[in-house]
Amino acid sequence: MIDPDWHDDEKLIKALREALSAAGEVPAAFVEAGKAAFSWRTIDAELAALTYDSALDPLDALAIRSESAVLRSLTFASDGWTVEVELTPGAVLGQLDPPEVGTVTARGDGGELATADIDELGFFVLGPPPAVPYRLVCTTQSGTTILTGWITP
Amino acid sequence: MPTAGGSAGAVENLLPLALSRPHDAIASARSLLAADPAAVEASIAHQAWGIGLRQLGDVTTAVRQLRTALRLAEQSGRSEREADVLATLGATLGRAGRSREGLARLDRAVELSRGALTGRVLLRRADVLLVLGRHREALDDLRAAITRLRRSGDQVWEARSRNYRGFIQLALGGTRRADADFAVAEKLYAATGQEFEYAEARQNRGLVAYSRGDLPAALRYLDDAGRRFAAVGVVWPDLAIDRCGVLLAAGLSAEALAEMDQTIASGAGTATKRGELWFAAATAALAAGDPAGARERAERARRLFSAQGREWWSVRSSMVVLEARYRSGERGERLLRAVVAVARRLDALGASESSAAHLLAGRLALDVGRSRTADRQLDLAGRHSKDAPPIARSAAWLGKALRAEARGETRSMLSACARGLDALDEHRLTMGATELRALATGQGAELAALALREALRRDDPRRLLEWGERWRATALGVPPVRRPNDEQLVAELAALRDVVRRLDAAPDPSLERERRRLEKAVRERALRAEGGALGGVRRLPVDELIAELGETVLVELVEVDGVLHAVVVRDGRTTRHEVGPLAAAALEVERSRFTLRRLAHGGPRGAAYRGPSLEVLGTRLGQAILGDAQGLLGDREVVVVPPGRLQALPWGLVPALADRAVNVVPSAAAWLRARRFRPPSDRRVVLVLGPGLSAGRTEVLRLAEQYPDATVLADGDATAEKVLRALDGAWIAHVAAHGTFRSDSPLFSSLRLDDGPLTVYDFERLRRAPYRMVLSSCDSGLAKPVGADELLGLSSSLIPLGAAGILASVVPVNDPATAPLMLAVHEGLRDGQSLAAAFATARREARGDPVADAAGRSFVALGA
Repeated sequence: MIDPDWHDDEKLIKALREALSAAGEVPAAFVEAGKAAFSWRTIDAELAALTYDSALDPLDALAIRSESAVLRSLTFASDGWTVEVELTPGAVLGQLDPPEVGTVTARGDGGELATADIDELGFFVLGPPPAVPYRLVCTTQSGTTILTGWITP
Repeated sequence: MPTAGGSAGAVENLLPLALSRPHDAIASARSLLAADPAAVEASIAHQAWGIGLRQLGDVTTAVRQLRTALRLAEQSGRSEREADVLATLGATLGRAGRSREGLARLDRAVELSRGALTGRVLLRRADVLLVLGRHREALDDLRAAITRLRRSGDQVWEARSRNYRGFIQLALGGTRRADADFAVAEKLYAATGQEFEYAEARQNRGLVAYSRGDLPAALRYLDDAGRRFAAVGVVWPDLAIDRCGVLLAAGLSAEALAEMDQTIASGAGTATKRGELWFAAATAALAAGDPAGARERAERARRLFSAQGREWWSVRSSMVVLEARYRSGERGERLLRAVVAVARRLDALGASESSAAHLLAGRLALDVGRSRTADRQLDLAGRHSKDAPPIARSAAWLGKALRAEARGETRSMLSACARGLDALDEHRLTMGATELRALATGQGAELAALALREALRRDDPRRLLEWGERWRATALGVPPVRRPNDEQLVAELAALRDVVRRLDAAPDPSLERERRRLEKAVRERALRAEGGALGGVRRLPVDELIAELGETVLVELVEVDGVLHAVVVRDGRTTRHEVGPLAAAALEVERSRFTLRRLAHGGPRGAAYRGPSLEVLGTRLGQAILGDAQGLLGDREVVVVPPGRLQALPWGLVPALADRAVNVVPSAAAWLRARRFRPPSDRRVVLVLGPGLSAGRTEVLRLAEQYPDATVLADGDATAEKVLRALDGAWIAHVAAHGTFRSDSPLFSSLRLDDGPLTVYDFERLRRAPYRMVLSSCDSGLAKPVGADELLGLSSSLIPLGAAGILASVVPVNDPATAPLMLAVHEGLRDGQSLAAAFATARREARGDPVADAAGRSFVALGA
């Protein structure tokens, strides 16, 4: 951090210059995250994009007789697959559509955060919920890999 | 008060002042010393200054002042003066953790003194002995001190001696004798205007109440003491330690830990007190399920105590370390030997923890197959005095039960289980607050499990039912203690509503802080409520239950060691069916609720959805939760009793139950009670509409047409006070409102009214709940499972208040889809059907439209 105790304009300009040049340097973690994201691009995955997020849809809350949407629900969809996700305080619940047995992994910048089985009805409970941004990777028995967009807790 | 300094009468007043108002005393001492007085007066002034500093926590500087006072006393050549300062210095050194040096000063002071002064010196020596845990020697000193002080009419010092003696009696388990001493001390302090010490005596009476298991009284005494300490400007870490003990006994372990960590972080307390603070924090961490944290804190405490030569304390700290190692999963001979050794030392020291130590030793010995050691240790654990507090008695009964089980003596094991649970019943009923009663049951879970396991071994379904009921939803068995005239509570609840309503309009950090402050105030007021004279707990009369059931089938789900069993009572016969793992059932419940929530949102799920249908989910749910017991239901009406952990279960999804009347209750006893509630003679109907529900409005308007005489509260009239007044003793009440379940603090779960949320605390102000109540809102049927098998929530709170039947939802429900369902339910009610039957009919009619169907399966009929 820069000492906020500027005594004259020159010091202020110097501080601003330092701040600008610091912004130009990309933090190492960002570079790593970028590389990780790039390597994922190469795996043969179905990319499922966010199509619904209850947090971005306040109108939906009106249809429900609940004060506040305690739970956040998300839907990710690709051409062939839908992943419905619900974030509860204790777990990430999900439903794969069409249902298929497999495993699900939450991956963040630094790698694997949590993993769980997907049961024969396509349902999974992944816990505890990651505290950092992550993507879900669903790998089904038939060999398909579905990668969701980023989920920010 | 006799003086030791002859002409120094006015100066002498400084000494008592230093204890009650340290700041004032220090100021007076300084101005007195500025006038350069004679050695005697100067000695007194420095002594008062030192005492004042010590009371304010600055022991190092206090000791320096007292050494000066001693030097001046020696110069004065008056042996009484010297003895008095030696005693103060010795006591202060003792408090600073330099006990040996302190005791040497005190021994010298005893030699130098005579009469009442000897009494005062003995008291201070007792104080140091007490810090060292040498209780019996301390008692001897105090007995002699009280005799001398009473004879010479020294009221203040007699009060102090009694206060100390009471404290030691308490540490040795003599609650009655302790309270007698504290009561005399309190009276003497009041008569002599000793404000600080009066507060201390109040605090100690709180400790007695705690030892007797009367937690609400303990909290009241401690809070009163806290206010009095604050009034004289003293930070008193002992109070935090005592509150920690009470909160732990009440099952509020996370709060106790937070309070201790906060006190430690504030840097309060002398060197000796720091150790005690760490010790209390360690016990709190242990109770809060953090054995690693407990071990670390207990080690710190033990190191401090060892350095201060305080054996009683360091052995108790060692016990916490060992308990933490056990809770971290450690087993085996090494740990067993350590625990046995510590238990023996605790016995020798007369510490109240010795029973728990023997219990742990017994468990460890059982685990490594050392049956003779186990038998001996459990035998020692089972010994207790009648005077012991209920929780200690129940622990002793657990020791007896485990011993009997190891010996294969079933009868005496079951009787020990029963008596242990009786002790906890007694404990629970001293409390008025629903939350404390529910949490208190956690302590009996192991006793209940022992008996359940035995019933299972014998494959005796009736006994399984009886024991399953013995420790289930007991907190809901009696209504909460009513506080209808507590105006302050009413005012706080009203203020809370106002704040939440304003917060909903616009977020505001300062309002958010105010909300938290008010919630804390409401909750703490409730926790302090005294228990009523309830005359014991009634056991489930199984024969009466069978008679009342008639054609109805009861299915009670009982969990034993993670496996779910269904006990079915049908046509007077009781059978047991193993269902499967509880975890598998919990997963199916989670899955069903997930799907219903998605449907409630209307959801993005269209015709393309290829996931499992509600029928498939329901079938799996039924199999996981009822198993083969489904085959016994025929076409009868059913009463289901799920364990607390599975209460949020959408029973309407289970195909076997979909078309019939199903009542859900937290216990069979609760159903029996609900059956016996009689409807009120005046058929008063109340319809309430909360703000922000468009379809709910139609619902209430249509209902108002169907019930022309109904009281309708809507559009600004649906305020908490009006709604509560209308609900009290109504025949049918229908509330359409937004609902919120608060898993962090379930008694603040609420229904949204025009002036803000109506919480469980508000419901508990009702004299009588409505006979039948429809809560047409989200999550209104949710409750938090706590304690052994207890529920805290909106609808569960209405059962003990006299509601015979409640229709509530266990998931969020869709507003437009709910309205037609509710109209159909009331049609059935007006036709004279029971709530469960009316709901079953309405549910059948909702088939077809998937969203309406989901809404129909999201509600449950609670009660009878």
